[in-house]
Amino acid sequence: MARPPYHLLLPFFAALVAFWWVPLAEGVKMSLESDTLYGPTRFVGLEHYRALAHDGRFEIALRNTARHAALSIALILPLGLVLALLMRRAAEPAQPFLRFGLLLPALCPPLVLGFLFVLVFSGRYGLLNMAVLTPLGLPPVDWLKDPAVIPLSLVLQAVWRWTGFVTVVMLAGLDGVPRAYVEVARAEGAGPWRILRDVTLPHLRPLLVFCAVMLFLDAFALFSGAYALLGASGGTADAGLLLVGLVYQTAFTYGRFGSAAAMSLSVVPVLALGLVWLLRERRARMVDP
Amino acid sequence: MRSHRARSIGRWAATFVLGGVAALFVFPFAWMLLATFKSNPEIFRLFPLLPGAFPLDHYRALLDGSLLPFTRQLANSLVVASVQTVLVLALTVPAGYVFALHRFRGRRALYGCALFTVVLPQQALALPLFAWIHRLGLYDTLLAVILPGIASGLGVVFFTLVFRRLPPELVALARSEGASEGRVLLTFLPLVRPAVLTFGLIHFILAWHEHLIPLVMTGSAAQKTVPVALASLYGSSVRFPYALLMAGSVLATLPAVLAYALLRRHFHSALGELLA
Repeated sequence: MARPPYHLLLPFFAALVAFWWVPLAEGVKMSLESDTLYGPTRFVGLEHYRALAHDGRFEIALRNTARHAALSIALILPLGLVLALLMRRAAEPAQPFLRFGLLLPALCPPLVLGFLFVLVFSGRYGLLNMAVLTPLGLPPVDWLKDPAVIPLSLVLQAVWRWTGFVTVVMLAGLDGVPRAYVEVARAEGAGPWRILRDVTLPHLRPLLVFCAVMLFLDAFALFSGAYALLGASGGTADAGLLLVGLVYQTAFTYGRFGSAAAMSLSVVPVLALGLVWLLRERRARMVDP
Repeated sequence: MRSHRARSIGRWAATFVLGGVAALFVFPFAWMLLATFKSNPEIFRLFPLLPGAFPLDHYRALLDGSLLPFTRQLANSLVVASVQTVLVLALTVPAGYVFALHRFRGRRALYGCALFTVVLPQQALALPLFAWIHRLGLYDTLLAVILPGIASGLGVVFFTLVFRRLPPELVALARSEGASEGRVLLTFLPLVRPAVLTFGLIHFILAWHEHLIPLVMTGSAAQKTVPVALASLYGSSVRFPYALLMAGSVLATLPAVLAYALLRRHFHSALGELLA
């Protein structure tokens, strides 16, 4: 084995240690110390982690986040795939415009998407109520106050934001489906559904996994959109309480830094599942350089 | 074989459906743009969609600094997103090159380390990062916003995939000249330019969008980035003109849209090459 050019790896790994491993270690230390706001903290061991097991709000945030991830993936992947399949049949000159239209929400800061959502959906004065429901004589719906509707509006926001991006990724993947396979399948009498199921989808599998992992992680990093809709709180009955929001609130509103650190670290094993998923996806060839 | 006629009907149907979805996606942005010229009661009426006049008062109020130092904050966002993007490229392109074209002991372990950062995003580490940045004495500086984002595991994965697609003969040829590794990498750069621009674009947009990290890392209005500034504007008062918020939102959306418009071709061709 030749000696690799370590000097080309060094800058990245130096940054990785300085702004990833060190903070991670700092976080672990923080999570083992008391929530003392002023004065020196003391070592409390696993007390914060034990308290999390009985923390109702943490459980709600975890459940909301997991549900948000599952619903987003379940809606966005099929929708993106269908739109990509349609895009290949669409009129050539229209394609750049359609692509831009679908991608525009991905280019827009999530906070702004949140604002637009608020203005359309919020209370009696929201566009939807003022322009549609009230003129029709229907009672206004309080979209952002009704705990049954809040999770849905967060998912809709994710659909709006990511569907276009997933479509573009799928479109690039569809271009790579070998024509010969499709033609052989067709010659053997396979219909469009069979071709989709047995040729196209297996070929797109790595990309579908990639998009699913991306959406999964995005759900766990989701802050801005929910912040615009509900502030740092979780909304009515904590229906929109997500993990990052709860950590932010615990640390910066209540000053309970130790507990907040324990919260963020306790999801590391969950997120590592995303990694395991990627690792198992051999055909994604992401892990085996 | 399907007839020509059936195919053309299919084409129109597909275009029509996609046009409908795209219009649905774009409508709120058109509404946002038009709202910057309207008063509060006008904003919440769907019709007339077009305002009577196009006064630039709200943009002026936002940019003249009487409410908040918005020009400064726009500049902050621009500096943060571009400097972070350049640093990420400078770190991850060489790392991807080494992972793709060299075999050495510990390669898989190191690659796994890089990959792990992909699944544990910086938002999850925001709190300890805050404590660490504080200890470094960088709190409330732009560096505090830039540095946490530079170790991009996603970038390493991306460029490893990119460099692996180079023809092996080319790699062997470049090496046989006896040039140093750094020089070989430099000769390859023009070949991977679309990919570099593409990842640069993606990272720039994500950095431009970032809200939590600058919120946590800065305290004074002069160091805030656009999303944080807009959020504070939104929370500031009950009776404020929404047109002002929408004008800020338009200005916050524009740079990413412009960046995409400029690099669109590279983006789609590089994505196609990498994912096909």
